[in-house]
Amino acid sequence: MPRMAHPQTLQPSKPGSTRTAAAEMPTKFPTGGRYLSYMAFGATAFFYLIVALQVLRMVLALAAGPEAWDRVLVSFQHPLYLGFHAITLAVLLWAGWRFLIKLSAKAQPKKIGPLRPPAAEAIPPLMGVLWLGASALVIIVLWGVFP
Amino acid sequence: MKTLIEKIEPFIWVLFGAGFMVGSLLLPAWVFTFGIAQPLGWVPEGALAFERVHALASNPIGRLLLLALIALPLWNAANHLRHFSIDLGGYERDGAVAPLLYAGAAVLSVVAIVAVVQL
Repeated sequence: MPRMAHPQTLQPSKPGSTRTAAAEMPTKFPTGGRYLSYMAFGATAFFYLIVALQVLRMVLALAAGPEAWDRVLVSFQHPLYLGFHAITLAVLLWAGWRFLIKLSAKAQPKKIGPLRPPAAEAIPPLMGVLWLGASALVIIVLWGVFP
Repeated sequence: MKTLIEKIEPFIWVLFGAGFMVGSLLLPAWVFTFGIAQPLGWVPEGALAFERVHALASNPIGRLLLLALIALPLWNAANHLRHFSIDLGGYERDGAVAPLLYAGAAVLSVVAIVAVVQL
């Protein structure tokens, strides 16, 4: 199981016969160069955590009855909540883009059981179609278009 | 504890991948609908009324989707935050951070199962 890169992983378990340079953090870590987007991608986990807790709150409100449900919807009208949700939406779209479109093609194994995954260049458009379709389905159902 | 986490790590990575997939596909439209469109009055009247949403949520597919929408992103967040912590501070504090995050995800997943069953 590969682990995240860390200078300690470069350190030999016992001193070797040859001299090696001491492990040190890259100078640009954590906010310079490519590290910025890498660390920002890691930080998006906070938003997934908060949104998952929010969905849980909504389910608990649904279980509690109409008044609790209406209280949740009214609370979302607060300007701070509205601003938070706008930021959250932007974060989720960026993280989704990076995960589904940019990374999924690179993360495919050579074989999935007896099958080969689609060609690497076909995966981003396929994931894009899947993403648009899933989003459209959620909106169609929640907005009352269907069923 | 660390040995146990190393043993279950492949399973956690499966939950992480599934959580990222479900969260990426479904949560943006969810947040847009409930967090932006609903407060601004863009959603058609009655679409998010209690009776309709409860009927959608309490059928078997609705329950399963809601459970996936809560529990899987929780595991995604727990695993991603663990590695975010390792990136920032190394493995020294991972012995405390990883059990805390995974235990939190496990407890909240159980709460989500109970909440979804109670609908």
